[in-house]
Amino acid sequence: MNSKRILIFGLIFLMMTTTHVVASDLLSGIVKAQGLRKPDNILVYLTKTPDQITPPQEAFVLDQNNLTFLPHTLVIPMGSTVAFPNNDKVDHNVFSLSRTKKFNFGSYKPGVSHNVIFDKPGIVELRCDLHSEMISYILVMKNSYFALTDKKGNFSIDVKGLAQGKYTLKTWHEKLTNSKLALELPAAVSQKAIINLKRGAPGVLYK
Amino acid sequence: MLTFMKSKIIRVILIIFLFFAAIGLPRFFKEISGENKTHVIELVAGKYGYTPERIFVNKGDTIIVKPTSKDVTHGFLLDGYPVEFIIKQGGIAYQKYEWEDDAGKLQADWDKVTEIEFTADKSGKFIFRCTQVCGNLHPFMTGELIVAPNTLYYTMIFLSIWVVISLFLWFGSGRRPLQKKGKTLNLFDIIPGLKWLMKRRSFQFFLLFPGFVIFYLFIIASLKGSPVGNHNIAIIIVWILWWFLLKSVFVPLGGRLWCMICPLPAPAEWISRKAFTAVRFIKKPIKGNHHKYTGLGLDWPKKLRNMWLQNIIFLLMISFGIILITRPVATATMFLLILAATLVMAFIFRNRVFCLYLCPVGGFLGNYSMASTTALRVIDKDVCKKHKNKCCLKGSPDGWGCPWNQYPGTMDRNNYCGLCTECVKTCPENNVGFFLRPFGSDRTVKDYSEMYNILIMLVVAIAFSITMLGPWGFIKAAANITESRQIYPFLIYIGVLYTMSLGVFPGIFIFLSRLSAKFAGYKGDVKKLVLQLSYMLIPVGIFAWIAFSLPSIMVNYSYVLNVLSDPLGYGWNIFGTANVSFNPFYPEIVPLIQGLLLLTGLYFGINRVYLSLTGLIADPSKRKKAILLPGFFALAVVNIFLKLYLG
Repeated sequence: MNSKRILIFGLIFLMMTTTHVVASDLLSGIVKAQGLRKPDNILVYLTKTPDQITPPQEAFVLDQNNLTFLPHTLVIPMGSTVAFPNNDKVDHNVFSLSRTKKFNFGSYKPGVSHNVIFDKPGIVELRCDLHSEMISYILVMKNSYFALTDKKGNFSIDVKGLAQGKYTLKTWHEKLTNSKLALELPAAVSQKAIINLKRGAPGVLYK
Repeated sequence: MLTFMKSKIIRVILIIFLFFAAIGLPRFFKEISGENKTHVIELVAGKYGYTPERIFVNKGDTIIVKPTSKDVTHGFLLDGYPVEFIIKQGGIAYQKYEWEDDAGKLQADWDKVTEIEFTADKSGKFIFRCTQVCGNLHPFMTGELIVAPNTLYYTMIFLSIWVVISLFLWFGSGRRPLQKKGKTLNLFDIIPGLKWLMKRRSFQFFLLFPGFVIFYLFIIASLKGSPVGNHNIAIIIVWILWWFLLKSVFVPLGGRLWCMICPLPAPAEWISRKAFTAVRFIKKPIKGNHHKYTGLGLDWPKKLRNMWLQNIIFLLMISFGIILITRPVATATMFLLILAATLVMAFIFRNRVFCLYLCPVGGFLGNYSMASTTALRVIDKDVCKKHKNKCCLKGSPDGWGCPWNQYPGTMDRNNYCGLCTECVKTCPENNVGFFLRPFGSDRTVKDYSEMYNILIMLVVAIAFSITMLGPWGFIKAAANITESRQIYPFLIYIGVLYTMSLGVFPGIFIFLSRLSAKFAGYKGDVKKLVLQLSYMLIPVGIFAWIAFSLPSIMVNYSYVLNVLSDPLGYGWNIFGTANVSFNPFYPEIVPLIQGLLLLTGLYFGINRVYLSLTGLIADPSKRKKAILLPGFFALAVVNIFLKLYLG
């Protein structure tokens, strides 16, 4: 009986002192953006984490409907497949001139879909040759610690499994300058991050 | 009780109490349900209106607009709210948003959206307007958002009733009616040099000449410039700036001041006189005049010496009103027709026959000038009685005999005085002065043609408020015959316009006036009383027209700036204002100003008609009875305008 108790307490003590892994928790915060109609679709992501990621089996979908790409911003893990179905009433020609992934499907009819695998991290700007106002972004990530802000600018990233230590929280939006915020886990989990962003030209995702 | 009511103090206290009641009562008109709702509005924009035309919500409600266009690209700019977007076909919209950058400069950008959400946090009536030039009637494409409780509207209704009740209380108080016999001031005594200036032969010429040059440039601009109304200087300056100045400045301040500088009949007058400024005096008078005019020099037929032709021409012109003010070619055609008419008239008749009996603008200017705060009059009528030569009428070596066929010696109304200032020059006794006087000083309506003109002007102001300022696209389409090509709606439109202005409104007014004659026990000439009572509608009309014209300048002033830099719509930018964006000037306070203007008109109307009846009905209480029913008519008319502008 006694030895059992000692063992349990000993184990708990061991866990408390030697664990270097952050327990299940959300890194959350709010982004305030100057010069945006509403602070949504802003990518918030962690860097300096182990670059390990497994792409899902199923393809992501970047829809074309009513002369609009949907969603406007699609964030995917590196190595994922994205399907580009034309669900509109008119032809579209999706193409990218970005260094991250260059492709051009040519004009294709409603009902037709094309797939692309994104194997390098970075930004892909999508355009349609037929409708100059159509634009959308695919952000290819090195790790799975990222989130998009909601309508009010809120975000939360699941940092479960990340080792205790120093990381950098970065942001990206096509109309805002990038930002960097150094933080330490697990301390950062307990407080809400407030990020102020300004209108301007964005930089790259990864140097 | 009677003695109690007669007490002046009691009446004044009652008037003050009712004022606070009128302001306080509407605050109890709250929205029916206390819970805030979300309204999803499927807004369809099309030439030249939105469906739904009017959106009704309660304060605090959330509005989600899902816009689409059924024809071309339209816009949506809501007064008083930071909501602006461009509407494309297929449910696509571009929403504008603004922010202040670090330098404090306002920046703007557009986002592609399918719905626009905002909270109706301000109550009242707010107009949304098209911002994208979508066609001829683009400046009139509007819709309305009414956020309950619309306290301002109900306050104005109560205040309009308060104005009437208070005036009746005041009339009954036995006190001197406000401003019994207007004091007048001779401006010649006050402004040094004014008399000297008006005595110059070239006075009118130099006032008129710049306008004359501009007028011909406008005709060229109308024909050679952009056919799109709001890109053409002629349309914008004439129908936004000139119309506003005419209604809001010239008429109330100077009456027929416009006639003094009107460039349209000038060439005819120059030809008929064979002179720009000089006087051609002959000693032996011909048909009572010391001048020989070019042409036949006939006198206008006696039977036509009234406003009927003007009324008819005005109504015909107004039938195509919305076309006239949006199509440069139509405006040019109208100018050229008037120019031709003045020339033809000048060869057949002598003097300003066109201006007096045909000019559609001259008609209402004449009537409305009765109320104006300035007048050209003789200083001492006895001097004129003793003076035998009557130079002012027949002419002298110093000036032409009155071109408007007026004898200043007995003239007591502004109606047919064109302010040409010839009498100032001809009078050897220096007996003509330019007087400043209270608003609404001439108070006699002399015949039915004048009365009908007053009522036509009132109905046309209502009609224009509905077609041009209102949100109803189908009425705009009906009036816009040359584009919609629908003959039957157009016929219905002008049918209603004619019936209302020639039948219904005059009919009701005459009926009510005759009824009040009986009610007041009036034994004199009923026709005279009816005519006299119609004077009430002159101040009401003037202020209604100012209220109508106000949005044109406060909302559309940017068009004026645009065309000054790019007069022909050729893409020039002379003063750098060609691209000043459409940005209404405090449009959310327009309804408040309109309401106050309408109340002012109502006050002057009833007050001045009460004074005007002094000669016909001596007994003040009978006089009060006589104006009671027509007073309700004026109140009803003002409330039609209140409903259209604020409700």
